[in-house]
Amino acid sequence: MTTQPLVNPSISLQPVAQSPPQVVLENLVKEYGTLRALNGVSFNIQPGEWIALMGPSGSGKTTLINILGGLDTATSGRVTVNGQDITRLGESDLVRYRSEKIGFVFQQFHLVPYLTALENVMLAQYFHSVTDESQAVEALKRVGLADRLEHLPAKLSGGEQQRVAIARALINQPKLILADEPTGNLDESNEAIVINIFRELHQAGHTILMVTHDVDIARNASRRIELTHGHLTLDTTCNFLEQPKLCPHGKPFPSSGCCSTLDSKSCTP
Amino acid sequence: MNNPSANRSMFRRILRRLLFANRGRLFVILLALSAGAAVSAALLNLQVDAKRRLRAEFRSFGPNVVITPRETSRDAGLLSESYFDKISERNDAGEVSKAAFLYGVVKVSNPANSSGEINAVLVGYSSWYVHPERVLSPALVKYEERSSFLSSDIHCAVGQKLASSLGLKGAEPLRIRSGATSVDLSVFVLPVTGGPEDNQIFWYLFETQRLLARTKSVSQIQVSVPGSPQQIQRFIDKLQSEFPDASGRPLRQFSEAQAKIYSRISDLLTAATAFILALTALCVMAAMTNIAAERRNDVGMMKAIGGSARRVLNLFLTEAVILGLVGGLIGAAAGIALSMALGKAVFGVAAAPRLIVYPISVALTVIVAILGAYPLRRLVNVRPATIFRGEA
Repeated sequence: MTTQPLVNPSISLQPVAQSPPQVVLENLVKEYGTLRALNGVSFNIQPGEWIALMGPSGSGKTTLINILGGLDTATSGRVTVNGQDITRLGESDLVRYRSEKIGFVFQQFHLVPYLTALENVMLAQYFHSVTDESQAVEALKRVGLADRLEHLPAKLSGGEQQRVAIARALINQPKLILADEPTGNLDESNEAIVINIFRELHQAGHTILMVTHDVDIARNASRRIELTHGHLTLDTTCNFLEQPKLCPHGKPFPSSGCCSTLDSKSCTP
Repeated sequence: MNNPSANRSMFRRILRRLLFANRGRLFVILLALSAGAAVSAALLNLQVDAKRRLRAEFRSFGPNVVITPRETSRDAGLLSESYFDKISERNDAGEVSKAAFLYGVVKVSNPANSSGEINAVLVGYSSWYVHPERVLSPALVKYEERSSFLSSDIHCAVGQKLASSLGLKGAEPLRIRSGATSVDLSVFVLPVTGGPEDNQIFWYLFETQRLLARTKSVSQIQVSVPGSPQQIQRFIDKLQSEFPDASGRPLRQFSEAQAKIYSRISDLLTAATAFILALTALCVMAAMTNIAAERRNDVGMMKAIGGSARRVLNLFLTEAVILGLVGGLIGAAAGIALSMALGKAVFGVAAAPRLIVYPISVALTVIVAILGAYPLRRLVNVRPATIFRGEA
């Protein structure tokens, strides 16, 4: 295992921490029928932060990202992004919110199979406002795909497809990049390329919320948030792999004396 | 910055990709739309042409008053030819056209071969007209136009079926015998009409009267009277008073029967067209259902990156309109050609291409394509999160 610092001090402790939060989640609840995927999740995201969102399968990570990205609606609670409460937005406002403020990167890439790499990037411009081919070419050059502009997704490797997806996510200069296991389908070398791109984005001041199961990838982030059964169980900004977990009331677990389990029902402060 | 032309260019680019994403399916959809357009255009063309043809036939068959002898007349079955001359050549609505006919059964043979005599109807006719099509059948009009150019002065017109049963091809004379009198005539073979003319011989009235020994007599007089039904009725009333042993009657009932037949044929063709278009829409819908299933993820992604339902729908509807237009343009052209061939095969006369049918067929095909794209229209209601969760 590597001994490199878990958090790069040059980027994790930026002065942005002093700014007002870019994203505020307050007591977020999402229910699918009788299943509660998110159970009162609350936290803030400062501008320029790179957050690794971790947790076991079914813990509510993707649900959280979907709500934050305006793809899904919360059952209750509030999500404020750049001062705008997105839980109150109608469908047309959500469309505008997604196109202007959010850049999505998915595990499955989700490129349009019959559009070339260049056209996939331009598609995001088209839905945002107006297409600019030279800008799209530049975005693909930045992710190292200058020679793959006219390739269809089927002719690209997984890593190349993910880089197209990243170029597409960035083309409209979103305030927030939401990445749902962006390296989940990639081999090691492509994973390194993609993570390097995210590192550069972070250094450039982009705010990133990335779902990952991979601790090594999470080490690149400036902050780690962990969900378990819809509860926030860890939120730390440094040496987070050695930090104790937090109970639903934010106290260290299990030595806090607060809870015997991480189940909020059995937790009594 | 706003640059609509760049977005229009991107719109066209996406459309082109959508259309050619699956060439096999594009071919199937175009084939379905073209086939639907072809059949509907063929039926519509036949329908429009039938209407025009019936109108034209009424006009060419022309006469709307027929004068026949009363049963109580002195010479039962015949009228005096003088009546023909006495019928006025104008009424208050315009020119009156008239033709007198004398019918008789004669023996005919082809002297050039040894085949025996057969019975045939000889029709002697004489006419007065401004517009020949108002009192003569189209075949006889053609004969009238050509008769002055025929090599022999002694000629007659023979219906196509009769000519072929006698082995007449135009060069051989026709021998006509009535009792002990016979005459050899050169022949003009009439075009096929599908009517009784195909089995008849047409000759000048005066010669026919002599051959049949019916001098100054005719079997009936047909008159084309212009004007309203009231004006025609007044004309008939005047004839009745002038010729007490003749009976004049309008041919309106005949026209009404034709109109009813046309109405039924028209209804049948309309129903067949609607049925074909409905089948086409179902075929297109089946193909579009497959496409919709394939595009669910793409639509989810488009909406996730900020595509509104309206803009995504615009893409799909434009795709459907283009498919409908291309299918319609190809199919309607093929259909009109088909209707001409069908008309020739079924009725013996090619249906004339009606230009109005072309845009109507194309428009109907576009509507069918839009209806067939219903599964794609529903697709824009998908929620991205549901798609990405793999629930839909």
